[in-house]
Amino acid sequence: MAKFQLPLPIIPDELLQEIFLRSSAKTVGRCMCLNKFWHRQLRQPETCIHHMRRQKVLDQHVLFHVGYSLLLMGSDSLYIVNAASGEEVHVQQPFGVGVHGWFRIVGVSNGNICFKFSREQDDTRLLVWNPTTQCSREISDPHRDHGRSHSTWFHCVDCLPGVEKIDPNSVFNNGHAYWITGTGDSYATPKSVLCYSVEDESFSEVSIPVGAIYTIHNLLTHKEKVALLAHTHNEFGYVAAIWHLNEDTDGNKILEQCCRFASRSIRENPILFVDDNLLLLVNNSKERELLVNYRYRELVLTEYDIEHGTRNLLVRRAWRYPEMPHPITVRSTLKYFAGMFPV
Amino acid sequence: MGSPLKKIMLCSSEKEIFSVEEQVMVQHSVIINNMIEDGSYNYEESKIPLDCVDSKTLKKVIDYCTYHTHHHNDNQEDLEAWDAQFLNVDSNGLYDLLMAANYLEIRNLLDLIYRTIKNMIKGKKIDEIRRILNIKDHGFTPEEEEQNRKEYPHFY
Repeated sequence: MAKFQLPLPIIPDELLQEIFLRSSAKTVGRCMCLNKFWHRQLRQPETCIHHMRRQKVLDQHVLFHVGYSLLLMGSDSLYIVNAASGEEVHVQQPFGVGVHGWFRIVGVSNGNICFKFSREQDDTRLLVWNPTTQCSREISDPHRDHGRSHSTWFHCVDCLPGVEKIDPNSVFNNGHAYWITGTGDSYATPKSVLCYSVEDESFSEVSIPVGAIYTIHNLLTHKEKVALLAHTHNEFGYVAAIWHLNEDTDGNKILEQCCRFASRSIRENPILFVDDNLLLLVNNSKERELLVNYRYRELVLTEYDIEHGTRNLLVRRAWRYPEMPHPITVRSTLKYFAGMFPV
Repeated sequence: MGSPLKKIMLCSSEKEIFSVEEQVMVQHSVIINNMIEDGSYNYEESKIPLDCVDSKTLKKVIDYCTYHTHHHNDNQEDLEAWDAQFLNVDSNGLYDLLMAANYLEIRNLLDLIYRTIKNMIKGKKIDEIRRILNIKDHGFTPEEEEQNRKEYPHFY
């Protein structure tokens, strides 16, 4: 192959984009830093989806893995399911788990998966894993008493004064992990958003305003911010509101309402992924039947489009054996390139 | 599809006329195929004007299409060796070929050139890619550049 003298003549943008779309995600990530135009262009969700389609064989493992966390508990294997094709991809697990060990997915962010796991019974660890690079990094977990509780809320011992319970579902954003805390025994009332900085290993709290106290709360990332999704059911039907974790002029973190919308059936289930107008929910639509009939379960992945108020079915998976792990994979778009190689 | 013996005329930006087997161009170039199929080409009189392709580049493009039409059954290795030899041009030549392939919509030639440029930037650092692709002004303020380095240290 000839050696070309450099630089090349200036290539039109649309042809450069073709070249980038054929490149590996890592190269695309670098090209994102070339100049302002590409920084904007290559972050577009459409570009990311386009790239993923092109690279579907090579980069299949880039797919977000999202587990139905309660079902994953106690399982010793990990599956990735391609949301587009429904095919399962077996991957090398980033940690070994013994007979008495277990793991669950804490959350997913920037293409990385955070696991909580225990090799033996009482040795809880947190680990961030990048399925593309297969790199992983353990993160310090000073509160190793996070048991493998099956309940949504569990007790947190001596963590912070006034905090009685912490929701085990968390989001990880910009070096911080966030959980919802609550008070009360059987039905916890949400109290605050607990923030843990990985860098200084410190905790802080942001109280949840009265207006945000609905029936069910989830944390998620929305428009690159940590957001509290609160939903409830009243005489008008289901209502949901998104509250953003912002900073006020003094640099204090506060929750501010971003939007409020009517919803048909948002339930108490983990939220998978959100971009500007898209909520992806794992929705166990046969919840009621489950209580009567354990032989059949179904997991439905739907998207809720805030802008258009529509709800679309993306993936439907059903299984017969409730004890089997059946995670679902969805694609990240917004942070697909940016977050691909942090670990 | 045209008969193998029919010839069509292509006219370069220098108004030089090239006579090519119709089948060769129809098979490779989407726009020439469309032109022939919609019947707007008159075999007696028409010349297809390619105002943005110079003679030197057009000759290369015709070489490429001719070779790939007649050797499409060759084994992959031989074809790749031929392609590598074919792209033994200077960077302006590569650019001209890219623009001509894009204009004429010659998919496999475009793929070949895309692949070549892709391999040039593969594994390179951001500054090197800027140099290769001739991006002189990145438009980031020093703060934004710093922010990028912080946000994506793994790319630098």
